[in-house]
Amino acid sequence: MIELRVGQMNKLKLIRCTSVLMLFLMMSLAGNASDTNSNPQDKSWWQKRHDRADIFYPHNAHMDVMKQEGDPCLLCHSFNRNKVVNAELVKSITTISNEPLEAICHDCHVDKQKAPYECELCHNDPTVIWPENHNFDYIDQHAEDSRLDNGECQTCHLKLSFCTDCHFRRDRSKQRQHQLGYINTHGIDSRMNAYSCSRCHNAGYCADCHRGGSR
Amino acid sequence: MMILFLCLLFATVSHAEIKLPPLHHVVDVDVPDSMMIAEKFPLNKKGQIDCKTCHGIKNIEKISFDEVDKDAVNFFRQGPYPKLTDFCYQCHDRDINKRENIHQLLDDKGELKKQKCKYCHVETPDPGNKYVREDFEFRLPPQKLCLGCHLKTPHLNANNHLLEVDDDMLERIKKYELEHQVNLPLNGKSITCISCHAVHEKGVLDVHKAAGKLVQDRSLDLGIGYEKHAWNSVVMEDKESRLKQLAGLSDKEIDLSYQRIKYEVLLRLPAKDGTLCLVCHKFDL
Repeated sequence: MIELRVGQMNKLKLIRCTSVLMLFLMMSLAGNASDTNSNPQDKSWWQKRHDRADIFYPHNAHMDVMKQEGDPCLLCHSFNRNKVVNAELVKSITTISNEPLEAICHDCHVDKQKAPYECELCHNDPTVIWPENHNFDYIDQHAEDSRLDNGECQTCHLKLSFCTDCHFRRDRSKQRQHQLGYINTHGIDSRMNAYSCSRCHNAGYCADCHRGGSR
Repeated sequence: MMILFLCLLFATVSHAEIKLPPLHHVVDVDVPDSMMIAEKFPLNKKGQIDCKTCHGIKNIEKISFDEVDKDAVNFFRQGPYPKLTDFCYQCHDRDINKRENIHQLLDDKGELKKQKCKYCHVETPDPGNKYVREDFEFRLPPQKLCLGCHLKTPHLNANNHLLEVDDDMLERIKKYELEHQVNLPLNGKSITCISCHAVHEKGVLDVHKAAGKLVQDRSLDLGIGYEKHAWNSVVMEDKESRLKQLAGLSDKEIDLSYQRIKYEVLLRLPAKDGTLCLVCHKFDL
């Protein structure tokens, strides 16, 4: 589901490196910045709700389906009867009541795929939701994990094209190339380790020449 | 003289120890003939109500009010009671003494119970007359009237709505009022309870007039009705442990569920299809 391409991954790495440098700069300004951000006059509460940069709920996009299902706004923004008097406690209960639940969103967007399933539609910052081992250089490390448990990858990467877009691409500058004349000896490799061929070539690639299976 | 001084001193200390909160039930009073007190609530030797009549804690009269364990099971005899009033009704007749719903303004024949108007209005208005809002004199400023009976946060997400709206939102509200001929009264620029909630039962005000428009799907006795969403059990399991922690900090039950609205009462516009919410709230995406 995390439809990030190699270019995006590199971009993210660059952003992370830059972020570390920026962090030092920001820390020196943190006092002023935090004062400004914590000022309740700056934003109304409903505007602050969108400061959760990792989750974004496009309300308008859900209006029709909510109407169809009979789901009111108050389903998620609970207006449950309250008897608790302590204001701080009520605030904590309200915060818990307002939290979105992954399972509900993912029921349509992931499990049933009735709704768009591009992660970044709702999760503005994929680094918050992806596993920790994705944070650095995972593109060079992912092969072993995918061999061990491909299903684990597919909990997020729903489309097979996420893999094939890289693995079957033949127009990349770093494209692996065989030495001249390899076509004459490739049969040995393919018999010894057909899997290594399949990293780049699908079955159709072989069948293009080996029609009838005799050659 | 010395003995007299000591007597006065002890009398003062003793009085301080049994100082009661302002809304405490009266003590050392005779029981009226009309009232039957059950044996489980013992009266004092004079046949009067005292501390031991209601409280089961041993020697409670010798413990200062602040130090009494009010969470003890026998703080109220035969307790605990889900509601304080459940304890009161052990002696007082429930039907006669239960608090009335002051929003139920019509009797069985549809006649206005004029006395009830005076819970909020200084004088009973005549529903047949034409009024503007300034004509009404209330017992409290309208934004505070509800708090005589209701909590400031009678439902979740209430308190964070009681705010001053910005100019854009104000414009949207005014425009909606004009287009749909409905009243969504503000206190200046601030949302109050009555901005969303109607307070007069259906039939009291002319429903064809802006002030009288309201949503009331069923009688006020039954009130608002919810139905649990299919995801309720999943949502509640997710929140259960955190809510349990918070429940430990309050003596009140925390009531939360993932639910749809089935019946609405006393709302100026329907909330179950989002109409009420979308008067103020708009989204770019």
